[in-house]
Amino acid sequence: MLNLQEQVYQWETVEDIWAGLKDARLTGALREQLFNGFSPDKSPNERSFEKFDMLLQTLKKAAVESSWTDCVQVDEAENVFRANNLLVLLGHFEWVYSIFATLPGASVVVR
Amino acid sequence: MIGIKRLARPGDLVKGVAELFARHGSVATLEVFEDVCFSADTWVSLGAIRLQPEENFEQAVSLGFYVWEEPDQPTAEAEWNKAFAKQPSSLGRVLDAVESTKHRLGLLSPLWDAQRFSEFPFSRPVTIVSDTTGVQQGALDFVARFLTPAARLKIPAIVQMEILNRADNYFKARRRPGQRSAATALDHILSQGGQRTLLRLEHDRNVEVERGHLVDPLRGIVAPSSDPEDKNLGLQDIQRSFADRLIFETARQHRFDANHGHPTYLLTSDQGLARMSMAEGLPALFFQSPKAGFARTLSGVRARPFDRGLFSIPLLSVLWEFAVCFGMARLRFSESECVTVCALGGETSWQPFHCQDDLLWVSIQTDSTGNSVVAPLPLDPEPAGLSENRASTPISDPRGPATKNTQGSYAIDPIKFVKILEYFRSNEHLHEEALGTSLGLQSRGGIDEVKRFLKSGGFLADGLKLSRSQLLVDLIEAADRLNLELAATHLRKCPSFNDFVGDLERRRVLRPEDVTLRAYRCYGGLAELFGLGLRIQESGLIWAGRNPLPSDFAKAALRVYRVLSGTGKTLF
Repeated sequence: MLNLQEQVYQWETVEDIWAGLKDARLTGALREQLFNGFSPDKSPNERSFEKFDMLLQTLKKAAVESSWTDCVQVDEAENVFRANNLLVLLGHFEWVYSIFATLPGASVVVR
Repeated sequence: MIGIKRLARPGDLVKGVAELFARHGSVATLEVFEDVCFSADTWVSLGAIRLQPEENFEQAVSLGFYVWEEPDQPTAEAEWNKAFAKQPSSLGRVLDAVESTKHRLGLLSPLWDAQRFSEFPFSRPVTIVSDTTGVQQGALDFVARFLTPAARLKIPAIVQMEILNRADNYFKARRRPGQRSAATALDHILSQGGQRTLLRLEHDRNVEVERGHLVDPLRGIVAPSSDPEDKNLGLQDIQRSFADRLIFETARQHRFDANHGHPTYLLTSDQGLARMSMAEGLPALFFQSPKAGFARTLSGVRARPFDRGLFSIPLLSVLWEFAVCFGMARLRFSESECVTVCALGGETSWQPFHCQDDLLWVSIQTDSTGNSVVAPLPLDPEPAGLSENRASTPISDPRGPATKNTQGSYAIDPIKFVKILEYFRSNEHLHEEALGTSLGLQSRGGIDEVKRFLKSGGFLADGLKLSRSQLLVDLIEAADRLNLELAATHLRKCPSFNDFVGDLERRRVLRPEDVTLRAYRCYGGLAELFGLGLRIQESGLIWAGRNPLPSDFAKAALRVYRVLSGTGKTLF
């Protein structure tokens, strides 16, 4: 039997990934490219890892503009974490890309 | 010449390093030095560390709020070529080993086989048998960090022996003149880095390393033997294929001994070993061997891969790891100001207790005097926040002037405090593991915070073993008898809590914005618990430390009633 679609990895975040960006237009463009570009209603071909790679290049440029902000997460001693959330996201996406990019038929969904 | 002065743990340097960052625009260069392989006094820069503090530099250093800006490839290669006297043929492998060090630290993650990765995180117990590459290239650290406790670890004896063999090669070369090549540096990095990983896992109480009663199969093959037949067969030489086979046999033996259906994986980046393992029916947990990267910006705070949280890599852990791998590492803030950590070389010595507490030799060289001075080990533990006003204090006086800042507090809320009392009611000594279990603390940081709190108030007695002091016994007894006034008096022996209560008494009302959120939540709760305060949503924390006689209280109540009556106001 052929699997139409199988989820092999999922990841979610509670942090505001745009918190470090001050340029509203850039934020809007990135949001569009991330969420609409990889929405689940698109076919797998339209959500390919080649397209994901293009997104990573855009995020890489934007991460330079992004600053460090307080995070939602606190550690055990109640210290508030700080992070460049876009840089954190980029690092994680690049890692996921490196693992799955060569997997035949693999695609990405962003919700 | 570096003046090596004193043994210190990473946490002992937080203040000194934070002050240097505060004075130098939050930027430093991370450099390493290998005293027998590098040209004299030639340190290799690994890139710039840019701290990202909001206000608190100490927090940024200890919690990993920084980025590491790596040099581009030509710059990096020029640095390394300068360090080695002759053009090193194995420079690429040295750079790959540096990359592996970043993986071990958690600044980067292994590139797993996509099929196996989709099985992460394991939902049922599995055993992962690691080969030497798993230890040296950071995959085992990833497993310990994100896949335990479902994943149990097994380290075959041959892995320890391979690492020890490499260490032996390094120290032989170190003692012999003319053997100072990049290959020797590679032996240094991989052997010391590998041993540090194994020791780290051994001391991590969240990691379960399996040691069955059966010895590793074929272990005797590398034992000393006078048998001429063994000599003719060359069995005394640890050959690569033998070592691989021994690791595989360990995994296979483990699967044979384990319960039916208990999965066993062989962790490796060695394609040959992975193929052999798969051909013999044992699944391989394969990852790609790390290759050097350049011109990246690495973040000290990263996303956890299998849940929604973040994790961080403290800056001083990075300094410690590279110091062990190369012998020396430093954060250089200017031509004459740096923090140097030394694991090998100079006049250093080593003893087993150094590993237990992660002690290395440190010196802080300052501009003002030109002399190396060392940040003294903290004698009086202080809560977070108390040192915020000391950012501009000269490094030569790291403790700085005495300041009063009631915003400092330990993260000890009433529930945790009651559990601490319960623990010490039935335990005379402090056993970290049992205390952590009683309090539901997962991390080392949480347990250390409790210890600092107890020490600051004199609730622990001096001695070889940490045990409850008479003061703590008195506090428990007072609490048991509901003598809150006496219990509060004992609790106020903790200076930061006493400052908080003193401030409350002076101001009569403390609002959340008057102190840190943590102080308000934790110490406000403790004040309520012992009848020193009362939190009212709209008003804040109100001083309630007076304990009047009933007759006096009745008079005061009547007086307030008369004032309020007829005005339409209510007390709360």
